[in-house]
Amino acid sequence: MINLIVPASLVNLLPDEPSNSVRRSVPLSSGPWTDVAAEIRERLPVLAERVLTDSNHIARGFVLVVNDKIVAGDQIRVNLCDGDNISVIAQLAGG
Amino acid sequence: MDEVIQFSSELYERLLSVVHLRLPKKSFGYLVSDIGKDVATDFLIFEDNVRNDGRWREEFESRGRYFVKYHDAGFVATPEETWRIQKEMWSRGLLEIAVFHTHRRHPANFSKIDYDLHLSRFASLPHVIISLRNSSQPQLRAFSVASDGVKELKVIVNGRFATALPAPADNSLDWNREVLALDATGRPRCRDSQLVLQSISELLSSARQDAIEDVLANGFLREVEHRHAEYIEPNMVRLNSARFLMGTRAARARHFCAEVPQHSVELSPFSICRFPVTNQLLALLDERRLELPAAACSAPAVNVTWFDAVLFALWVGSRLPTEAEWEYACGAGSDAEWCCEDECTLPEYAWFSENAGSEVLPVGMRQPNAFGIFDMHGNAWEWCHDAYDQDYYRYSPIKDPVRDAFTGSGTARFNGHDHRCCRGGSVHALAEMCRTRYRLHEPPTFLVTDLGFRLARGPITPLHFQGTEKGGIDDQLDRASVARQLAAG
Repeated sequence: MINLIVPASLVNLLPDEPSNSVRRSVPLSSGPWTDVAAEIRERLPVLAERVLTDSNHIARGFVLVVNDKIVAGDQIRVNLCDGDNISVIAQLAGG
Repeated sequence: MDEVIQFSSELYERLLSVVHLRLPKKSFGYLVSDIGKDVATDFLIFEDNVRNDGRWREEFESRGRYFVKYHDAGFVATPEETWRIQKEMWSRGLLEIAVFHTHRRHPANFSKIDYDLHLSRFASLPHVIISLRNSSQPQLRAFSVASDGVKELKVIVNGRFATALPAPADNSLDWNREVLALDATGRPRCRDSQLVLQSISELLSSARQDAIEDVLANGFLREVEHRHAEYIEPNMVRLNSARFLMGTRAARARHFCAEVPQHSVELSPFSICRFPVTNQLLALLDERRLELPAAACSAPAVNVTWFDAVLFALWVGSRLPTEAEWEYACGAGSDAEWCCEDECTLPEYAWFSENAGSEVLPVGMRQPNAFGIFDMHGNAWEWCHDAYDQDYYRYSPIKDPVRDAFTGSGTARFNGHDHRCCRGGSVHALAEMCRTRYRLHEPPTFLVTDLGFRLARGPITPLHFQGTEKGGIDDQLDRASVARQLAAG
């Protein structure tokens, strides 16, 4: 299994009750990114709608981090192994 | 949805101080908490901004000339710093409770670009905006942001207002005489508009007809009708009684705060000036306006507090327009977003970010609206009479609505806390801020280089000039005038 760590600012996009914790950890199956993205879309549809593109890339304005390394959102070719930690976080932007 | 954001006064002052010291650099970051989701205990500021890199720059510049002209307008955090700050929050056990950013030229309002970029990222995180357009009077506002709209949140600064109420005025007649004394040129000696208005209000509340006649009618305001007839009346547009729809339909409100519900308003006949008050006109009261460069004479008088505006209006026998009057006069009966057909034609009617520089411009140089009124969109924001309440449209009366926050008399009527409404946009404003129905608010002591006012006259007597028992200032002065005529006869 891998851990998807969701920051507090996006926790409200998870299907469970909102919480006051600084982050939430969601276990997902290991495997290629396309499979992980498909599982996120199925289990966490509101989060997926915001952070994933139709082609399962990371949406503009979000950052994918795998084991403390930033992965470019449109070049995801990672294979995620058991024990890996991934996180999707929002890149602040405004006018 | 959170309804408040709380700061300690120490944190609030530290945040404002830090973003001020970073000028002209834009500041943005998170408000964070280690104790609860609506109480800020610290803030984290990002240092790097990639708004001018590649595709981000294109995206910003596609939003209009303002973002082409000002490369410091807008912000995007780098992925690296985004991750570093996220890890810092986790390691310190901090909860992000709001995003914040500063505006250098715009008010602390929420614009479409803020809405789009925030809503595409966050579902319920509030957004705080700090305006530094007058850096010595920073303005902080907080907004809840959701797909069904934006609502301003209450900002509570613990301990900040506990001792801020002004001291009671000395309302003796001698004090009133001193405050309302005129100099050799016939202008007020006292330069503090708030104090002058407070004195007038105290005097009217006293209902001492002899003192009102002596100090006001034969003293401070003795030339008022002459000034009105000579300088104001020729430029007034008389508008007949009207019924119109004020505000914005909920389906179109999007990120615009406080414009709903759209509601029917009936206005009694009133007059409103064709132009904003210029420096040349304001010099009738404040001769220092004549020391400005010649080019500024015919430009809107800016750097005026709401108190300055109210006092000048009174000085020339007028008042500020109510929000309802302003909105009706601006739209000139149109239900479009502006007095003109669409945004493409707005530059013909307004000086704003698409066609202006950084300073207000002489009045009357764009097309007037269908009522023959100039500069209602753009050039300078304009104070209105009303005290601001974002929910006012939910309970305002149909007939001549005006929100007077004043209760009691004298000092209580002239506190500096209740914000007043401003309308119209300015040379810095995006087209959306120049909309007929766009509402902004600032504290009445606030002044800035793109906020002025225009004059109106009509049946409404502002509450702060209403005596407690014997009617408003018009009645009082009318009686004094009659008394004077009888004495002369």
